[in-house]
Amino acid sequence: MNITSKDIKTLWRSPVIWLLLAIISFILAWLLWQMIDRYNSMQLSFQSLPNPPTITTALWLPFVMTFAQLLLLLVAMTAGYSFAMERSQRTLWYLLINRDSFMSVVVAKLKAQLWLLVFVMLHLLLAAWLLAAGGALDWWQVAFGAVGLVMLVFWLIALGQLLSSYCRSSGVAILINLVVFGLLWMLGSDPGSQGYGLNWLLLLSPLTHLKWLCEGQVAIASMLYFLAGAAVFMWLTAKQLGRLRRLL
Amino acid sequence: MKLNNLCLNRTGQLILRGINLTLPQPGLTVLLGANGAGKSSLLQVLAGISLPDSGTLELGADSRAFIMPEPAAFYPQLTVQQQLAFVLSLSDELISPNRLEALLQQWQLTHVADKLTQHLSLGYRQRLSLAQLSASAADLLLLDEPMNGMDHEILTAFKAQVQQWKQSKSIVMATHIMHEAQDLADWVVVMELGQVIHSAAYDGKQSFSSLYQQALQDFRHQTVASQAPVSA
Repeated sequence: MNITSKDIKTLWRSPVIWLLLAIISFILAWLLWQMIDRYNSMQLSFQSLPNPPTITTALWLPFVMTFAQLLLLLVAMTAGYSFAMERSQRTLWYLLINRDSFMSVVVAKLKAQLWLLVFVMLHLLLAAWLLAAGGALDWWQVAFGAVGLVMLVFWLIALGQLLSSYCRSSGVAILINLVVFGLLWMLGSDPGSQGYGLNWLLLLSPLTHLKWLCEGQVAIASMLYFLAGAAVFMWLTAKQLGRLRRLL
Repeated sequence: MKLNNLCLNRTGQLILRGINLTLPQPGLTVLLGANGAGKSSLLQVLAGISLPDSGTLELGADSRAFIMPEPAAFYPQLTVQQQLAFVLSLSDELISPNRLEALLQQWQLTHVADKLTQHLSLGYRQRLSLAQLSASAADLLLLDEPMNGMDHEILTAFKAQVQQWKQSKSIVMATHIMHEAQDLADWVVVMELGQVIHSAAYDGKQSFSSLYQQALQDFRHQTVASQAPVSA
């Protein structure tokens, strides 16, 4: 029973997590069914178009973006619990005692959170399998979308853990995570800047990089944004844990 | 184990003021002092979970500490068995089912092994805290008011275990229950207002109660004398 397995048990023993997973699954299934139904009903009008939308562009991409939005809620909650709960239930000392570096604690806690990816991959596989049964999917774009979503979850968990380490209460940590994730998302959904290079602030939002990845534009900048960003957040969390010893 | 001029400042208050101490290794040191004297803060500094603002702490090489805080804090979502396994994993020990079973038996926790720690009564929380100390494999054990609310049975087991531990480990115990602690002590430290006002080996000739009163009296006389105006 190490830190990771302890956190996995804590995470999956919470009824709220199961409720949230059930709600997200229901919303996704409902929306996907509605979109498939609408896509089918518009087949006649598509015949007159020179380049009709494919299943990938009309159904898969919006599905991934909607899923990402719903995941903001889930990650805000699970990552919010991470360190704030240790502080509120006075168990943080177990993680601080006999350690000089706290990176291993941050990594162990992050690994426990990454189990959420099982839920993500399961839903992506189901959706891809369902859509592939009805038409031709662009499997490259499907793969890039999946990779983008995995990297987004990784990035959000690292950021959520950092914010959680500054909070004494899980409720406050979850709320702050929701606000920060929401603001970052809104930053990337600026409708006035459709053209490339019009608003560079868009590059700060994970939504922009996820969109590019889903469209098959694999830029090194996007990869670095997610991977280096997560690494920086983890490093900052480890530093904050060290600083907490000056407060206890 | 040596503490050199340790100072701890929290929220603008000086909690530990220039602590200089040399403690026996192995052996049991008892910390006496009123509430707010700085005993718990000193234990947290010794455990390394609270960093002093100045001063140095010299522990032995590869020394590992474990603390029994007051009040005890466990992970409420874990069972007793899982909580102990977690503490075992912190000490990098291989968690064998036999070791876990032995700990549960030693502290009479077997029949609550699958109970969540949040549902334990005070007596079982104390047993679990003591089992954690046994599981930790640390060579410096820090006990904050361990005997508070202990019934006779647990107290007897606790004292027997401490007698055994102090042959090979360093133990620092903060307590208000002086008559029980004086049977175990090798060294006694009295604290007041974040300072050490008495530190010496304990030979058992004087009761803790009178030793504590004496130390306080001496400290107050010294304080008054140092504040009195110098006559011309």
